[in-house]
Amino acid sequence: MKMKIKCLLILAVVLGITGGCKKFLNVKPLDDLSGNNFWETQADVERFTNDVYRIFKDEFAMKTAVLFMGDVRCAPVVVGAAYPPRGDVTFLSRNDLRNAIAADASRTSPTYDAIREWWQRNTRWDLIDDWSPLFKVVQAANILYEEAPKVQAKDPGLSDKMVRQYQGEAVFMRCLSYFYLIRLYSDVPYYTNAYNEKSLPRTSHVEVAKKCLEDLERHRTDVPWAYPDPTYRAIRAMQSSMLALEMHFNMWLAGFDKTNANAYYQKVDELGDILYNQGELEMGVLKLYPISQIFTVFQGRSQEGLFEIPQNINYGLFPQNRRMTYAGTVIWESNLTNNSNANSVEDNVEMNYMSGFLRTLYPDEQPDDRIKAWFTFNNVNTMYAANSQMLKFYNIALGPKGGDNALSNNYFIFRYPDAILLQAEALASMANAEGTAAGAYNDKAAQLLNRIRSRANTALFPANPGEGSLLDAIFFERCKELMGEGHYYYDMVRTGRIYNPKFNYTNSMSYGQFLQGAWTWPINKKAQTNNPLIQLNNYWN
Amino acid sequence: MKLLLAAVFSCVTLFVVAQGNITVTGVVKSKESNQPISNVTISIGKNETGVTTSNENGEFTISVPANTVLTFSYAGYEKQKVNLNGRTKLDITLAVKDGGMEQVVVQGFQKRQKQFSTGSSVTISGKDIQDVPTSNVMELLQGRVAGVNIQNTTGMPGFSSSIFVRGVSNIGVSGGGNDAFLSPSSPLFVIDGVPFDPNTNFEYGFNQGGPGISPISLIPPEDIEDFSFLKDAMATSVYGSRGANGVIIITTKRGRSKKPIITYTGNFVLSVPPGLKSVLGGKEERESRIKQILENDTTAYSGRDRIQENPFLADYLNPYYNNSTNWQSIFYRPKFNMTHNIAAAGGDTKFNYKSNLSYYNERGIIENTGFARYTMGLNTEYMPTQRFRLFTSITASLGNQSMGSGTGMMQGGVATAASASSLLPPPSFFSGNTTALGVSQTDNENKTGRLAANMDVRYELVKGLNIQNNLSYDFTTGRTNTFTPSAINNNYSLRYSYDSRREGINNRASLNYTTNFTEDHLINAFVFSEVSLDKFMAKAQQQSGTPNDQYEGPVGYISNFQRRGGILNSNYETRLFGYGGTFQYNYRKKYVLDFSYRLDGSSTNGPNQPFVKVPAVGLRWNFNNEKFMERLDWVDYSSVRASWGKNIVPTGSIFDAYGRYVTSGQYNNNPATGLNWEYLPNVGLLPRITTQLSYALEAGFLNGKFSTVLESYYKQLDNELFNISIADHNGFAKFKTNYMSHVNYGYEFTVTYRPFNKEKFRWNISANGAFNHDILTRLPNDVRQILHKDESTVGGIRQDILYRLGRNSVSNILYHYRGVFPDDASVPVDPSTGLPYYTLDGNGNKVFFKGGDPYWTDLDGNYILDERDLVVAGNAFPKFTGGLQSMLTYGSFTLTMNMSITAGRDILNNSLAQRLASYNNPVASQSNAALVPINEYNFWQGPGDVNATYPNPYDFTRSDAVKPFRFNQTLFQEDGSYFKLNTVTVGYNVPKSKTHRYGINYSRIYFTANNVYTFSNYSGPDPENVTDLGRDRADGYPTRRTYTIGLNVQF
Repeated sequence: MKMKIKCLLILAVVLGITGGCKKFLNVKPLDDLSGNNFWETQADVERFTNDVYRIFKDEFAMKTAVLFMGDVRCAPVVVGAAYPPRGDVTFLSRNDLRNAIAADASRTSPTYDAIREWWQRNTRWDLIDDWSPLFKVVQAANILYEEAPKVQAKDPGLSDKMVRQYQGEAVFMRCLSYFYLIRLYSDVPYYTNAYNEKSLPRTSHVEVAKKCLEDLERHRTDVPWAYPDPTYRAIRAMQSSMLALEMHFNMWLAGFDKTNANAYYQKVDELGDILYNQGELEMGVLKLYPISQIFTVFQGRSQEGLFEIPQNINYGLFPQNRRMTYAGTVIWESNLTNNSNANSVEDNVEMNYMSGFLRTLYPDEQPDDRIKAWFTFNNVNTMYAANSQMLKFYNIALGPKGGDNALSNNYFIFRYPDAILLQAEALASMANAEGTAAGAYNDKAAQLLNRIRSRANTALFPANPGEGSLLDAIFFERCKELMGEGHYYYDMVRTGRIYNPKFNYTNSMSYGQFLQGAWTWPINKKAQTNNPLIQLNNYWN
Repeated sequence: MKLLLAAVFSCVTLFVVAQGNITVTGVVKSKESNQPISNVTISIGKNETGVTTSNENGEFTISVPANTVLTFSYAGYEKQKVNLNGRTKLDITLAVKDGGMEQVVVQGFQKRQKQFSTGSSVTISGKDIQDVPTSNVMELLQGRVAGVNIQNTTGMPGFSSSIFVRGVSNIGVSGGGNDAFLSPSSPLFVIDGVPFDPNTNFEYGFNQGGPGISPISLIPPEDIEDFSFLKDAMATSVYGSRGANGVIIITTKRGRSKKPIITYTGNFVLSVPPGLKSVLGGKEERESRIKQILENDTTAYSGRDRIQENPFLADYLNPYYNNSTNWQSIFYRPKFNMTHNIAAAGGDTKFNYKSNLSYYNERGIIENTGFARYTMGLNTEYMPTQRFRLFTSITASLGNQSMGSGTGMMQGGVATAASASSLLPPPSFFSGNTTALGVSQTDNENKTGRLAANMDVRYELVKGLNIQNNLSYDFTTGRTNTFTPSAINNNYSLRYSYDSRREGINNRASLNYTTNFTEDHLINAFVFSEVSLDKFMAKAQQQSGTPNDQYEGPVGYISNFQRRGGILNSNYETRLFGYGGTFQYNYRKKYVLDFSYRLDGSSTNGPNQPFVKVPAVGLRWNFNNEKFMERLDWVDYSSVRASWGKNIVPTGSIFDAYGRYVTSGQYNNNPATGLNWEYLPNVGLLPRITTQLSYALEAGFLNGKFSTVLESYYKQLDNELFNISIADHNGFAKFKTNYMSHVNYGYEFTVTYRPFNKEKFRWNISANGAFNHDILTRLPNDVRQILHKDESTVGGIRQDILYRLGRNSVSNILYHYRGVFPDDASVPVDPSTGLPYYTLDGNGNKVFFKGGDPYWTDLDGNYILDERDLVVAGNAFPKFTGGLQSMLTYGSFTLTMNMSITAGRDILNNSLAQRLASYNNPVASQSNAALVPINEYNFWQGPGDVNATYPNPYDFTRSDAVKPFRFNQTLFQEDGSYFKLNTVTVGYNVPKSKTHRYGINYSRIYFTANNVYTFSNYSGPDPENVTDLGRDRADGYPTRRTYTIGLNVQF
């Protein structure tokens, strides 16, 4: 009997180890973390959230000249006098993407022409046809959205509110990526499920925008108006960032889904009011800086910024290739090269605005504080000259020969004046369409426009530019105020000005071409690999 | 138990008949091992009345009538009758009964008599292979076990063979070009209770930074007692997930003699390289090149210029270029080697020991390659009572390998150097052929040290209930040091060091209970739990630019970019916890029923994944014991068995299921951790399921003259892991999916025939074979086919692989070669465009076919040769593998032969293609420059030649576009079937009388030839020395032929 008990005991020991084996079987690999060992604490969620932003920054925004494209494509710009010439400026301003892409970045092709193609290694226009970096952000954001709530079971310190905030940030980054995707390629595959592996067809860009709007609307209030840590301001998604993105989506829809345009304008007006009433008046987190302080805005993290991509020389963050940026292209070489002679003949910028266009924006004899704050002109004392430079994004703190580090100001995605002018534009468009309440809409639009104008101490509407047309005045004000922030081309596209010869200074696109998709960017053929459902952009491919 | 009863009974009878008798003493030994056998039943008279048993030293003493007949019988051995005729001293040797029902086989963790085994397992005695010295014992098991396909794909000493049990289990392909290889799916090895999985990191010796010595190579064949091959689900089920590809158990020898026995075995071996390829030399080569250029260049002027620009053609008076170097003979040479093995064994049943000391050295037939092995093995068994047993073993081994400038399996350096033009001077610092120098001067040392220990304790708690614990520990270190002198490495010396260590701990605790209700019902129950840990880590360092070639470090003067080092990312740690049990019910030795079940948790899949489940059922019916068989007394035994089992294993690593998270950078100066974007985590990975079904018929006839095992199996592998590329809008590049299935089914037979079985003259012939069919039954996303694009090209040619449903699982996809265009007029012309059949060159220009060009079928009929014209053809996996063994004993002489057969496999003769393609560049001198004597080949002679087999090799100006000798064409796909005479051994047992006075009680000398001859229609050198994907690469390591004189002495 005793024996039997002993046997049973041994049996129990032998088989009883089963219970404790779960821990035993969890091996933490030395080389990398695996998913089951990663999602454990709030710190993990935080780090992954950082990565979602990081992918957008490193793989999309800073890898190519894609942000600069909004200021150069079909824009009234000409190649500056710097040598060798920036041929890409010509190609882009004429919407000649084929040549912009064809230039050889590897510099190895037997037909490589150093003068004609040198810029490609710097700008990498040839990489923009690859949409996968943006989809990486989408995929990562989707994973964050799904995994964040599961961490709560392991880390009780992670509150519901925090989970919602992380999810809100995920939604913002997902929608921001789609925003760029549809503006670049029009129709794109749309998914919000984590770990998607299915091959998807392209969804109409109007549909994508609508879905993103629903998504943003649902999560807008989950993210805070302001972060306790001021270094997060405009660097991580805030409620104002969400509002700005929503306003942009609505304006895009108003341009392409014309039958429902009015509803979208209405929505923009509503969102703009929230921004003003809650953000500026109630919370006090938003404000317009006086022009004398405007350089602090462009250093970043100001109360004027709604969403920015952080750059900071202290963190070693500055564009590795200045020619990818707008800022580096409109500055004299000598300001960026520590040892060059400031008075040499090479003191020319790589890209200039057509002087007629500058005259339209800044009419002769009209005072504007932005001229002094942003423009300098070397030998001639007029801003319209070919070698005037623009220091809007120049890090003044680093002095006149700051080197490439001087471009370490933040990249701007959304800024408060951008949202104000969008609201003004929506109001003015409604006034144009309806007629009934036109007066009230126009007044409010003009008032918003004049907020921006009066800050710059320039003549208020109905003074030029715009020749009395409120919509044109708002458009030009956007050109002026947001110059270099990547809005020009997309404003032209969504408002249809791109095929209007009056505005299309380079005659780059006809209405017919626009309808065929000339406004899109070509999609790389590799999108069709493993995905038979993808049709490329017919105009280009 | 029975024996005990018999002994008691015999003692009683002994007293009854003990008058007027003589006392006989003697020793019973095993004929095979010359070791004493204890507990042999000795019986007297016609009725075979059991009288006594031999003691632990095999000795016996009995008192019997003077003229009686004694019968000696022991389980697993053939019964022997001896007529006393008044003798009082007897030396009895018993021979092992082959294939008999008493033979012991291994099923799961237990040893069983064959008649009670329901699984499919085969035991091969170590004796069978011990006359052939080799670095890799698996090489010698080729063709010995039905259904176990062993291919010696490389001749590099110290490397392992490819082993497939019942067809290929993993059909994933990695690598590209000629280096593409099949994911290994070797069976699990258990050496003296220490398990290891050869699929982890030693496997093939390439694709890695370390020494790549297989632990199998560290076992001296002389020390092996036996091998057990567990093939079906019933036999392997208790091994859980690791047993899915089969299990091979290797047991080393034990001590069993009271008197210590010292055994010495020495071999003296001559390794001979196989036939070398013939090449043109000297003047003949130069003239061939000049003639080719003059006759085939675009214009005569261009040809003249081309010759002038290449001094090795034009400047023939220059002594530097005026040579006829036989490069191959510089690298491939016969080598003389020797091995020594000393074993000491002794003890009794209470305590016994064995120690084995072995030295093996093989210098490879390729210059600067070789393998040396030093091992020391020790085991002891302590058994103070029948209830307690302690077995310990410890083995230390060191393998030292030199791989020359290659990676072992591939001898890239040698192949390149040996294909240099014969016009260049032989290796020296002035030769210009630096690769050749590299081969001989690279200082390469690869060491693997292994320490394996095992402790097995068994205690009988109550009658029939045993508790047992088996603990094993295994430690392996690998080290590589390579020094490449600066003179042969662009003036920068290079030092590479690699260090790795692997540790494995395995513990298994079990309870075993055996009981019988009455004599009819026997029950055996067995429960166990197992814990396993396996760790691996490797470091590597590379320094370049040491002060000179004499100082090999530690500092270099090259910039930091050239200095690399750190822990390699191949490190892993896996843990496994499993438990389960088996249950056997046996009714009157007639019906046997087996159940087995195992549950496994594994860290590779993470703690949240489901456990591995491995159920199995087996049945056996020994119908010979039925009444209706009693009349058929020419049938010795006959039985049928069947087994079914499943092996449900969660697939993929934790990274596959959960993703790999890496520190990716920073955002806003805060650290960011994100996913590695190569593989999309597959949260819904399904477990891999292997379902096996096996039936067998076993029978023996005519008193052991004839015996056979017929077996058929069906093995279905579902949910196999497969990498697919996914659409780029998913961000990730690849995805591991597991909707892939394939099936192996086949038939196995083993037949043994003993035409003569006399004391003086014995002849055993045994043949076995297995037909295997493999069929791809499902592909990811339910597509009908997947083209696996070759990652890299060789000579601009990709060698793709096609997975197509319903076909063999891995197929070649090739251009269909129809012959040679006899002349320009016979090239077909597209009636719609008027353009002749053409292909596109690298720049997209049309190159029209001409007379002398190959005619590949234009499958899509568009008069353009491109990738759409590829056809699926060929199967690299053999349809039939088998072997034939013959053992003839006549008096003191033995003649053993071992043969193996592989049939129904296709080989791509890339090596021939590459050699013929040498003519495509008449100005090459360094590599791919050796010209084959082309007249041996039936090539196109000129316009109008309609009988040519091979296209025109001379037209070098167009060959870059036409690629007449591209690998992926049916011209180079050949039948790779072969019949190989593996070994022939002639042995002579020196009579004891002649050696006794020197204290030698057993001695044997033998002569062995290994890898004797391969009969094959294959045009290449060796149809076996090809990759698992059937590609005969030009830079493979050829398999040597060896001649051995050996001596085996026992003191």
